[in-house]
Parts: sequence; C-alpha cells; structure tokens
Amino acid sequence: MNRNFKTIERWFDGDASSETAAKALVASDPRCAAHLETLKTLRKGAQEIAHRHTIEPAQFPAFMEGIRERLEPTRRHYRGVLTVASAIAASLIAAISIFIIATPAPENVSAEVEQVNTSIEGAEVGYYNTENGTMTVWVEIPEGDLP
Amino acid sequence: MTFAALATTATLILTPLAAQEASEARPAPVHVSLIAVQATYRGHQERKFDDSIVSIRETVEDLKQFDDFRKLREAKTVVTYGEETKIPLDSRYTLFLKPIEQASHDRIRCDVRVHMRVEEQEKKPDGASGEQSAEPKYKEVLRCTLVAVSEKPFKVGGLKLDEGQLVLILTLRNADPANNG
Repeated sequence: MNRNFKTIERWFDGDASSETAAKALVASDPRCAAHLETLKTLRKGAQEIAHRHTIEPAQFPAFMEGIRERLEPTRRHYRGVLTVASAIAASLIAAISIFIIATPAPENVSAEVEQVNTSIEGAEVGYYNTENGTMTVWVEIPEGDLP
Repeated sequence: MTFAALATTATLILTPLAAQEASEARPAPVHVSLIAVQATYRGHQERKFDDSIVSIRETVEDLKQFDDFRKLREAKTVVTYGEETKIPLDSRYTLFLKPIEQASHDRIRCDVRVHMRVEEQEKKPDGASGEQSAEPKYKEVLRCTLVAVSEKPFKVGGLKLDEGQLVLILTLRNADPANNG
C-alpha cells in the first residue's frame, strides 16, 4: 500500500513518469483516491499559510480602529476601579477628619501640667502622658550627680 | 395665713441657696493619697513589686528602665484648699503638696514641691568647720503646678536615691462625693 501511495505522491509532486500508474491506482483503489484528496487538502492549507496579508495604506485607519475597539473595554474597566477607589479614599478621609474633629480631648488623662521646674544643676524636667492616661512628671538628672 | 405661706416658701427656697453659696465659698477639703516608691533595675525576668503596692503596676507601666519597685512611704491625708501638707519621704526628701483651688467639679489645681535635705558644709563665720547645724537645711529640687483629675493617679519621679530613683504616685480626691461628678 505504501508503494502505491508513494507512486501517487511522486505524481502529485510533478513526476510525469508516474502519471499513468498513479491515475490507474486512483481510479481502481478508493484508498489511493482518498490519499490524493488528502494531499490536495494539505497543499491548499500550506499555500494559505504561506500567503502574507498586507495592510494597504487605505486600510490602516480601519486596522487601528479595530485595535482601539479591542482595547477600550479594558480601559473602561480600569476607569471604574479608579472611580470606586477614589470614592473610598475620599470617604475615608472625610470619616477620619470627622472623627478627629468630633473626638473630644482625652478624658482619661489624669492631670494637666501648668508649670514645672527644677533647681538641680544640669537637670531637665519634663512631663508626658502614658498610654493609659497617667500624667508623669520626670526629672532627668545627669549621671553621677546627686540628687 | 397668706403671709405665713409666703414666708415658708421663701425659707424653703433661700435656705438651700444659702447653703450652696456657703459650700462654694469653702470647697470641701482634698483627700491626698501618696505612695513613694524606690524604683531600681535588678535584672529580674519579671517586674517585682512589694505586695502592698501591686496596685501601682499600671501607673508605672511606662517606666521600662526599672524592674523592681519597693515602697518607701505610703500616706493618706486630708488637706483644705490653700493649706500645704508636708510629707517626709525618706531621710533626704520631703514632699509638700498644696491644693490651690477647685478648677472644676472634678479637677483640682495644686502645687507639688519636693525638697531635698542638703548637707551643711560651709564654714561658720566664727571659724568652726564642718559641723552640722541643729536645723537641717532643705533645697527645693522640684516644683510643679498641675490640674489633677479627682481620683486619677499621676506620678512624679526621677530624683535619685542612694540606689535607684524616687517615684511618687499621687491621687487627689475631692472630699465631698457630690463634687466628684
């Protein structure tokens, strides 16, 4: 069978010496006829792949319009996300601002220092509130000095 | 009859007002609570407190440089506004606390001063040297004016002890519960 197919293939590729034998095989054997059809289909497909499409200057605007149409839905998607993100950010800023403005001064602070001083030479005195609201007045004395 | 009714009504109205005025003129005294602590670093794995001062744990939470807290002095006293109370803390330091005024219904403006005993080393004019005078001399080492919230502790510290540092935890409270909000 392979020999018959090769005879057909040689004829198909242009070998005139195989023409008579090949035609006889195609006429007498349906499998050889089917093989010839397959060869024709393959050739046609290969020719279509090999054919290069070119865009003429007149077709270029339409070509670009097609690209734009493909890209635009994606752009619309990002625009929506950005809009939502901006709205969320604006809401957050507004909420934080309202919270800061509306929140009264900390009620849990234990004291407010009005004035503080020390007469210890080289020492510094300051005050701060701890996380739990405990006012702390603290004297920082240089090392080695007493008190 | 009408006059008696009017007089009774006036008395009922004016008596509480007069009492309130008198109360405002002389605010109730202030309860002062003091815990004086020696704070040191001894390398404990966990912070240690004397059993009687465990309650100050939260108040000294921020003093990470210390891990050992020992009570030097605990005192409770009642002071009227304008009066100064004197509380000796140890052989060196003395606390003076003076409620100045009631700043609001639950706030008390007060002066807190710490005096330190100073050694008398100067030569006397007659030539005698180095002798201690009979009355020890004190130097004001810290002075602070603050408005304290009634019943909330605040602390004053940093003064050096022979070992460690002095921390005072003070709580003031208006004596009259009606004034505490």
